[in-house]
Amino acid sequence: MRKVFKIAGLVVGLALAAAATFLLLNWGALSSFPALPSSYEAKELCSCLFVEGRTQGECEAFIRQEVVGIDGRDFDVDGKRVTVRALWSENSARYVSRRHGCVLD
Amino acid sequence: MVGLVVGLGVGLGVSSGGCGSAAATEEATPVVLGGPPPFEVQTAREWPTAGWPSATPAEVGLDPAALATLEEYLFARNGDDVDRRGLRTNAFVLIKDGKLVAERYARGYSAETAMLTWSVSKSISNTIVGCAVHEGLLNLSDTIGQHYPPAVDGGVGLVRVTDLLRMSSGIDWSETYETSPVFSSVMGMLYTRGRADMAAFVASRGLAAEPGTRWSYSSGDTTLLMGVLRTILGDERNADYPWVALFDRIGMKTAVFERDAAGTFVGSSYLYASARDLAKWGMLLLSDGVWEGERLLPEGWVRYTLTMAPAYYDTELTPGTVDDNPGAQVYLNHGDPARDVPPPWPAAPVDTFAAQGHWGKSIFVFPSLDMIAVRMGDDRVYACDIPGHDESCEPDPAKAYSKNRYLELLMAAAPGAVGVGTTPVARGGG
Repeated sequence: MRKVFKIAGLVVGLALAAAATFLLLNWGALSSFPALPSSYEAKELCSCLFVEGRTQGECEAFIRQEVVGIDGRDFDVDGKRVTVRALWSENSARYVSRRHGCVLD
Repeated sequence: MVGLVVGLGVGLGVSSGGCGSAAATEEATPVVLGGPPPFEVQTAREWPTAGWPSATPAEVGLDPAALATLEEYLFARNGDDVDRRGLRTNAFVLIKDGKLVAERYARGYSAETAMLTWSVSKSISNTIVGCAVHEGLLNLSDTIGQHYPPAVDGGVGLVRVTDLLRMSSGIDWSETYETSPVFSSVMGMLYTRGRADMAAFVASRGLAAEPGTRWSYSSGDTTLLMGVLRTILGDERNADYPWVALFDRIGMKTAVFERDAAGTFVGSSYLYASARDLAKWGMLLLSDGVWEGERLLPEGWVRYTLTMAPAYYDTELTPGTVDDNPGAQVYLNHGDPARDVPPPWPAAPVDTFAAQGHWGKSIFVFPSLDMIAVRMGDDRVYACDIPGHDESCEPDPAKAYSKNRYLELLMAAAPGAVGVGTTPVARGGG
């Protein structure tokens, strides 16, 4: 019986080691992932609206993805800014000039 | 119990060492610019700076019926925005013998729309850098460490300008898009970890291979190069440089070029322009970098651009990269006879080159036909005839964008095109 626990402990231990190693080696990518959906949407919605001059509906259809739910999008047309919330992150992009289009904050 | 503690200890004790080349590289052969492009240069022109002169297809020897078939294919289904299937062509512009002979728009786009070009941006970035080289601001053989302080450490400083242009920097990079976003370096650069200073982010990645030895498609290489350019120019001069050097001179009036927060132009991805303006880039290259009698690009720049990146021949090919045929930020049609790799666009002449971007954007230039075709789309599902594309591809070629089908139909409209210059180019040829 002790032997079974010992083996089980070793297996679990190795699995934890693998997980910890994976997290350590990929922490940069993993920790920054939650910001990705809202950043992507904020920047591309801003450019779609203010550089390409398309409608809000067309732009939302353009950036739509089915993987991560979006919690909210704010369109500030006068201020030429788009803010998006998803995965506990909020990101915003604004239109800076005719030549330089949009940039993420 | 013992196993658990050991396991945790091992996991926490692992340090992630960097992988990179610490050994000094031997002196690489300097790249010398010179020589004519691998095609007959077009000189006698009604320059389209203020607008393209127009002609009917018949006037330039194109078959109107075949062109109509091509347009029918491209605009057959303006794929709705719910399931996003089918060809979703936004714009098509065709230039033959320096004249606008066909033009059509859909999905709310027009001749004036500055459209997102994604990686087509890379090809225009090549040309902006070429203008800078012509002005003597930098040289192809310069290491970026000579110009860009953040890159001195870790070997990245040894990467040369030519290595970046040929996507052979060796910088550690993962170029994946929406289908595999978590570990994607390009998504990190554009949107998260790297977005405030994209060039610095790319440089911080370190080397995975010695510069110049391995070809690997990388948006990082292009954007790092634009960061190097910004450092050379200084922030003030950099802000308007693409317009002063290129856009204003060839009449790309609709061009918008976005930057990161540090001011670096996102040369890999964020050029916006009308289809008519994008065709002007093609015209500049067909004219060997000369516009209205004035040289914008160095002699030999177009030749260099249309030469296969040498590292490509030493890089193992995958189904996804076998068709890539890289020049300097452009795609070529040479194939690699030594490895039994046929030219990627068998329907088109072998001297055809292209700028291509994500979701169906392209500028195809056919020097032997004096023809430029711009097609801007928003395709999300591709035809199954593309190697490496196996995720939900569309088996019916009439229902999805197929580059080969597009080129076949285009060649059918240019009588005499079929068979023109189709002998594969040997290594080292251009």
